[in-house]
Amino acid sequence: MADEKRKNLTAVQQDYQAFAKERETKRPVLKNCIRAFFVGGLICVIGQAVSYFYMYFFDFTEQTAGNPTVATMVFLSMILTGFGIYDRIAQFAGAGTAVPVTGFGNAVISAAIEHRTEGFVLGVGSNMFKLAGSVILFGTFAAFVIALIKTIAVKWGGLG
Amino acid sequence: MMGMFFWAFVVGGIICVIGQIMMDVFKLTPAHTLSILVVAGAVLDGFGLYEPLIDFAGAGATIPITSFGNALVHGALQEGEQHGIIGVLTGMFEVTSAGISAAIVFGFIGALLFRPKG
Amino acid sequence: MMKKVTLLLVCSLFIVGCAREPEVKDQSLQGKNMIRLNTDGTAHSATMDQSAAQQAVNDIKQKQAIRDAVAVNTKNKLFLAYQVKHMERFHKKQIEKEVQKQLKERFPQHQVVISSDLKLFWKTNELKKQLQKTRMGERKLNEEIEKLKKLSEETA
Repeated sequence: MADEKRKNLTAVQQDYQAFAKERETKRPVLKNCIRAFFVGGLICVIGQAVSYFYMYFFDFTEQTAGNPTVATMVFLSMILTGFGIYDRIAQFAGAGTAVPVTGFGNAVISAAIEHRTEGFVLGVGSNMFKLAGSVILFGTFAAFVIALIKTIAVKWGGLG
Repeated sequence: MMGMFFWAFVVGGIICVIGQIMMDVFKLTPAHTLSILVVAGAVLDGFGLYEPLIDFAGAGATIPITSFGNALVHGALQEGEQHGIIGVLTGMFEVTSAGISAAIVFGFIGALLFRPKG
Repeated sequence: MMKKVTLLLVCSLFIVGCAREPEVKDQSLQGKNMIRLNTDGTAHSATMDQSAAQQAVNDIKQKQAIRDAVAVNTKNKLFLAYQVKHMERFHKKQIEKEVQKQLKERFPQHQVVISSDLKLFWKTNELKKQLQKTRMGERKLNEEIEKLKKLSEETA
């Protein structure tokens, strides 16, 4: 698609694009990936520790400990987001903080805090899911389609 | 138990690296990246591959956002088994509610407690 | 800033306090049971025969994929919790089927329940230790096993 677009441009524009591409700061992909790996891994280790905590002190099994663990991680992310620490870690870690559920929490919570000045209904209420909404939408819709296909396949196709 | 921590670290880290590559190499916005990861989680669970990953890596598979898609499909399939197609629709948030409700509740508490910075 | 921090602390204290409540109740209940057991449990019950459990553990531990196992049994119930070696955890479901089948064939007169969950492993171990320390009636043990079974069936 990008190539097609380029063909329609004049020579000058093409030159400019080449020029812009040259000047574009190269993203240090490897370095970013290593950072994402360690920070993301660390968040998951913390999550594992939390779920062991729930299993050890409460009647949660490996299966059921997932939900309270996720809630706890979102709670931690609220505190870190509120004090502005999460954003600082995010600058360093990139996807390492965005991909775990804490990143989802951060997106919701920071939007809520940011729009607080516009009031609770119009500000917080309607802006909370500005960033996270697409995740919920596509997740839910994809899940619906997949589950529908599978259910139909199992019920009438004799699959599974 | 130590193995669990190790594999949670590795698997969780790898999923984050995949996200980072999508952002850096394919130049996607974080919202696109996360959406794709959620859909990927849903698809993997559709093929029955995500559950073994959770068995293997614990929080390394449940903490990344991919598990959100997995949980949605899981709830839908569970209800679908019992109540047919209508169950698919109603069961979707059965398992997932924790992440979203926690985000909503804590998001609002956060908005009450904290003031925007800068 | 300080105000916020204190507010937050109070909030989290509330949450933690409330969350612990059921556990506290549970503990006090357990205490009562212990007392009851110690006073009248001896009168009408002898120690349960745990040879079936022992046999099951020995059998299952022979399997390559299994790291550890622990079991308890009554006359007609057998509960076995086991731990899968980490690299085999991918095939947890399949292993579960194999173990279930093997035990069912081995103990046809028992109702066999198994779990590969770590929490169940801890709980079963606890129960087994308790069995060795205090005498426990058939009925009580059946109840405990039923509790374990319920916990193992919970999903999400």
